[in-house]
Amino acid sequence: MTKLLVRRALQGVVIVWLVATFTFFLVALAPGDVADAVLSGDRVPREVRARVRHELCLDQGMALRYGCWIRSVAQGEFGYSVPEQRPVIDALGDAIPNTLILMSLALAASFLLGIAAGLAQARWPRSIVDRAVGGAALFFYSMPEFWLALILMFVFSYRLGWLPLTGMTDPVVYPYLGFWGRLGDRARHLVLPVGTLALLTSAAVARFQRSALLDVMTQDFVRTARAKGLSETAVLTHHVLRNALLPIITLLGLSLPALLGGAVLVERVFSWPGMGMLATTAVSTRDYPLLIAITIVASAMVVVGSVVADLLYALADPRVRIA
Amino acid sequence: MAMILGWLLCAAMAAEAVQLVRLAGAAGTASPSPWRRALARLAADRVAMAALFALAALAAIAVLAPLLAPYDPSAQPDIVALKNLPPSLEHPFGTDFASRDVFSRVLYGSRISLAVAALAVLVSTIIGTTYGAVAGFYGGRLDGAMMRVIDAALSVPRILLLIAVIAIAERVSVPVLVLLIGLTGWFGTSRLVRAQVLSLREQEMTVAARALGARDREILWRHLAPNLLSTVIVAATLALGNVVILEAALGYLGIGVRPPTPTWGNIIQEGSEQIASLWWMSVFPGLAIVCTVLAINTFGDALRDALDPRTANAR
Repeated sequence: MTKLLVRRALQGVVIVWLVATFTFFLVALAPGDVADAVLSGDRVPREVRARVRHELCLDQGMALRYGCWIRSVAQGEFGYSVPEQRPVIDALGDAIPNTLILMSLALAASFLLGIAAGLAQARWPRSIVDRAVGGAALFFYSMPEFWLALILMFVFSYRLGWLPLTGMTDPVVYPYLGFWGRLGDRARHLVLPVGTLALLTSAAVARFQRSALLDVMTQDFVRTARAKGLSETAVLTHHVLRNALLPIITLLGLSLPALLGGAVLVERVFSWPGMGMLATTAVSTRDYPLLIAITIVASAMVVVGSVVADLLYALADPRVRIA
Repeated sequence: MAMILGWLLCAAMAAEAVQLVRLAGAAGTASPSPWRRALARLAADRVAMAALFALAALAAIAVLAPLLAPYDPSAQPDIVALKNLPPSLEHPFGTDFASRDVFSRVLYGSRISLAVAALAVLVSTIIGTTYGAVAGFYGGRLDGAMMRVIDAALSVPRILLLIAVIAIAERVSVPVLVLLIGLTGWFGTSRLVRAQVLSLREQEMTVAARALGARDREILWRHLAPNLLSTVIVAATLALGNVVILEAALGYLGIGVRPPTPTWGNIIQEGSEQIASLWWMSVFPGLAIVCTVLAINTFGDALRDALDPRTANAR
């Protein structure tokens, strides 16, 4: 178990190192001097330019540059964000928790919803229920996340006026609310972004869960359980679901990049102050240090998530734990 | 140029597919070839055929957009009197803030969106297949190193990767955009192909061919390639749907095809700021995306089921 954990953690470090190397080449291959792009205009004092070049390791010779780059990434020194007017690490520090809230709630909701949908489909395969749920899953699976976000916002915020438009909290009332009022305000702001992500991710989970359940249902122990005279529902929940949850844990790790990518767009639509919002703003302000830091941090988040998924898998499956 | 190539490709693919399926349907199940049988299964699947027909129709719409569109997609006939009109008989999808006809723009948008997606998937399928086949075939240390690179590439969300690359590339022309989308999309395919090659490599036919003194190249092309084809086709079909969505997302973020050009993502982006009053600018291009991707995914699912002997027998 510990051995497994150590091995996966080391692999994770290698992955993040590769991503950092990739971003190094990205900056090296960028047309012109990246510092010029960050500091467009002539009014920038020479010292500031020198500092940006230093932070991006651009003042080093080619041979030393890579070492300098990796060292600063490893130390979490991502430089200074000129448009944000603060160090990149501070901007990220504010944004990461917001994205994590969004993603963890969406992940939990989508797996509950997706597993329930998959169960309903596998309970009555090829029935009208199976077809209807399968069709709905395919429909949502085929939908751009930013478009669903826009439509939900149009319907629930503009037309019906039930939910707030954008942001994490109400800019006017929030400071004057009590604890429960604040909690309620935050929850109301969470509904649409989390709902969008959860709907779309649960579609993918349901598609996966159905086939995982049906795979398990052909196995011998299921036939035995049926032969014992157990009801189909009991067979499904007690014997099939437990075994079909293993591939779902794998999916949990695999779905993180897509979920994070979806969060980027959903954050943009709802002006949710997370990493995605930061990234899409950084494009228009050409804030390379910030973009590069977001790329590396995103990969680190995905790596940590997949190590956690592997751990869960080992906990759930004794065969892996002992081996 | 890329656009013309792209929609020609789309149309050709759809026509080819219809032809193939008709052939297979005519040959029936009497034909012993597994390909024929798979295609016959596909032809018997009514939902799949409807999806294929929808795709052919979409390709036709993209090709014939100039004939079908009632207005010039970039004409601004009357920027005062004809702007922000809700859907009506003259303007089925309404008009935008510059009095342009949204219906015509959505029709023209299908050309760019489909062409970019089809070409990008072509790029990523070629790279992914080659990379995966090399890794799986030669194995060992090379395979290990190549797969670690894939692990790293897959750990960054594709949209973030594209945002970073496009921001640094500054101005992105349509061919470069196609290339960039293609270059960020082959990692998953290469993993699938590698797994398939690894298992094929150990099968008797490959071992026998090797024992008979076949060279690597012969084994790759004669024995592995035909068996990889179904995996690759299914992966490419399902990737196509994703890329249509991805291209629209880039347009929505304002880093896709440059704005005066109508693409589905660009139209949504133009309308998204005023979605409360100009809802038709967001709703209709979005529905076009959903219909397209739904047709592609439905067909992709059916194709996968038809080509997989396990699920095909179960039905």
